[in-house]
Amino acid sequence: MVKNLITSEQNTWCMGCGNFSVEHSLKEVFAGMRDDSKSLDEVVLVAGIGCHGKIADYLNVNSVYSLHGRAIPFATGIKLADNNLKVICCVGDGDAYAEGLEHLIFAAKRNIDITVIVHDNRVYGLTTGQYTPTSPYHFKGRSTPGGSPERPVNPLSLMLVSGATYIARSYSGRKEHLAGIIRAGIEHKGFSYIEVLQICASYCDMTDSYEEKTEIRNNENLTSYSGAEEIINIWNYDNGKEIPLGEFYQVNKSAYEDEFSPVSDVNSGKTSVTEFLDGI
Amino acid sequence: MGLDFSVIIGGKAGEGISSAGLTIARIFSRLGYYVYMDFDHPSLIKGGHNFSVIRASEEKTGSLREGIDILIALDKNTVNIHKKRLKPESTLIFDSDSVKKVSGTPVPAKQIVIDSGGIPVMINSCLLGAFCRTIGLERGFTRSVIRDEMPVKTEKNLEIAMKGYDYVSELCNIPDISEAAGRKKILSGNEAVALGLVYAGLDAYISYPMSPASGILHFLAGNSDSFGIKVIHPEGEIAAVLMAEGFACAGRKAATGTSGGGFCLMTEGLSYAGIAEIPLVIVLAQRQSPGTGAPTYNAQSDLLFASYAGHGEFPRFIAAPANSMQAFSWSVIAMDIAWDFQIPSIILMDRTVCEGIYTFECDLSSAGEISENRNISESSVIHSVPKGEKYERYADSEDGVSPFAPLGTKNAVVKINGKTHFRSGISTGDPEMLQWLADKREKKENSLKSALDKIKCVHAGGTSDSETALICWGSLSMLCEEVAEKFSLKLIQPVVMVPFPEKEMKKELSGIKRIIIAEDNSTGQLSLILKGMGIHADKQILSYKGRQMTVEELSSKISEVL
Repeated sequence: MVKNLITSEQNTWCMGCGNFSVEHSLKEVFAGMRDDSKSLDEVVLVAGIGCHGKIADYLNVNSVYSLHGRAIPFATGIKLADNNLKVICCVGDGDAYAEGLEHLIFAAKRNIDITVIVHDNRVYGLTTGQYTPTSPYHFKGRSTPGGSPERPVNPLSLMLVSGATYIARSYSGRKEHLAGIIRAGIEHKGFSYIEVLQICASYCDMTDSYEEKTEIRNNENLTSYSGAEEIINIWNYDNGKEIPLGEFYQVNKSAYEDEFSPVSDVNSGKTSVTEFLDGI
Repeated sequence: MGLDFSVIIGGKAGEGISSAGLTIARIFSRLGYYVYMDFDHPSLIKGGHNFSVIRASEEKTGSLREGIDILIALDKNTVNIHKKRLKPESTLIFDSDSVKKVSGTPVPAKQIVIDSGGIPVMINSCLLGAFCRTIGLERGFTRSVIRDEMPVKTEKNLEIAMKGYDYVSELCNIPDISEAAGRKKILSGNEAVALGLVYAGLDAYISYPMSPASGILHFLAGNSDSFGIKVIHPEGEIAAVLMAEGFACAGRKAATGTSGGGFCLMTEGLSYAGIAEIPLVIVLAQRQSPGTGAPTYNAQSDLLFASYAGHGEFPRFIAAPANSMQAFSWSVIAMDIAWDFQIPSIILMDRTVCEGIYTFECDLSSAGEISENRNISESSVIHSVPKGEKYERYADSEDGVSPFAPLGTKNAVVKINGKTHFRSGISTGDPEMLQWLADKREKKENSLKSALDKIKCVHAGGTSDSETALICWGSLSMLCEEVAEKFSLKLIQPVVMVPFPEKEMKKELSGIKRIIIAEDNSTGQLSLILKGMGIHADKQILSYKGRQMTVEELSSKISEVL
């Protein structure tokens, strides 16, 4: 059955929004999976809340349109419940790095086999332009008209120390690269973290800066922690001449869901309770 | 009137007072008596004062009396605190190496443990041995109980217990009635909830530790392999409730448990389950609050919070069980209702019922009968969608319940959504749809109400033709029932709190001229709910010391208002 991968829902993203690039990259990846005779029935997209979240409405695959910051615990429950599912989380930078930060760190720590794609436009778009954890120092937003008093966090560095086993960065202006990274992240067994530098056409249009500064620079030895650290530290989300894109880290570690035995498929609850009560 | 015997064993936290209490409870159970035990402990790990009160009776019991027949003291504090509860004929058994200048039955327990090469915690075994002899138990019986109940370093424990046994002499003789009455089983409310959920097909229990719900987490974690379930302790309550919802989205039955503070954090997820129509079970174990409150002490002060928690309007089911038997049966029902109606179900416990140990005489098949009574609702989970057919997660239906295909169902694009949405699950702000969705939720609530009309949601006891009713809820029920019998009153305990079984309640109240409502809170939360239905309390008895009232305490309060 040929399935249209885009729903008929009218798209409401601003013209030039970086989300289109993520949406179409995902569409390509899904189409590729279908060409490889992999069933898209087993794909689940979990989105947070923010402009990025609308992707749940636009892509015609299973989806959970969850809560602000909470896509990851939903995704974790889904993956633990059914290991056959390919669970992809689309989250925003405000969404995952602010309100949802504990979940992001724990997902990396657990190495659960889900793929987290952060649509990092470095601004709250849907709430009309406030600073986020990755906005540059002194970013002027509606809640910080005098400039944000906070310095940005380097989320890749945070993910590296937290235990993520796949770390990569791409840019919404390079769709082919982005699609490749997403494909690799989904194929990676374990927690995949993909940071997407994405322009916000309305409140934080970094196109010029990203076009000028982004360079593909993979970690030549992907399993090297210090190599990853070095590339990640080239750019601190504030100033800097170069912004590296590419695959920075990939190692194999046992995945969280493998720590649990599968749940009983038969309805064994009644039997096990009866046995327990007989024994006391 | 048959035997009605109360024992207290007390000492410092870390001296094994809870397990010693359980052993005493088990002894009486094996002898065929009904048992109730409460373990009173402050929020600390070592030191302080812990005590277990055990009441054994030939009649059903789930309450405590003021007077004590035997007090077992590991320290002086225990004697000072509880001696006022001793009657002239009562016995005090004490560790004479720690407690001086009191009269009773001294046992040099510390010295016995040292001489036998035991470890300090075995002082409780030594005193338990002495207790068994005091109440006239045979050596063989005593040995077998200690062997079963104190399994750590069994031989050493046995040796020490029997030295305690031999040190004292028999003071009374508790007859073994097990042949006629049958050996009884005991379970805490927490264990009973856990077993009920497993019986109802639980696949995963996800919970962040918080007293007094932690017992469920510990019990299920310890038995996860034999029950075939996954037990997860995540980063917090927010993650716990949402992971449970993730399990449900994939078609697996999950539950979480917490107390008031954790439930506060879960309310975001609760509202999500409301709009996204996700089956969810939350055990809400009430304790003294607000804030951190007194974490190890009781309260029934989250009834209104549980009833209205969350933003927006959506149907929910709340049951408040009174003991381990109700906890088991209503957990089965709560899970079934969550799945049949795709709504959140809350099992509203209180500390007393969570940690209280009750005789468990549940007919499993009848608990199953209620839950398998598909008159409640036809189960709405589907596992396949014909090829070419369009699946709509929120399709319309007569009872408001849509067919639920788990994520991963073949040929179905399942779109679960926490925003207002079309039938397909795609978001919308369309005014007609907003209204339609709210109406759909109301339709579900109405079908839930008519389903509940078919089962018994109110427990009644005491004197059925009395003109005075004593109304209570949760753990107060067994205490109130005992006192109601004493005063020839009618006892009424609504078990289902939301949607409130108004018709059934009014039926139970027909012919009643006077209403007394007893609650373990300071504002009368059940009274407020009843007031909304035109049911007014003539008198209220409110207790909020964190400890449950004794039979004598409640009796004197009843006498005052009668």
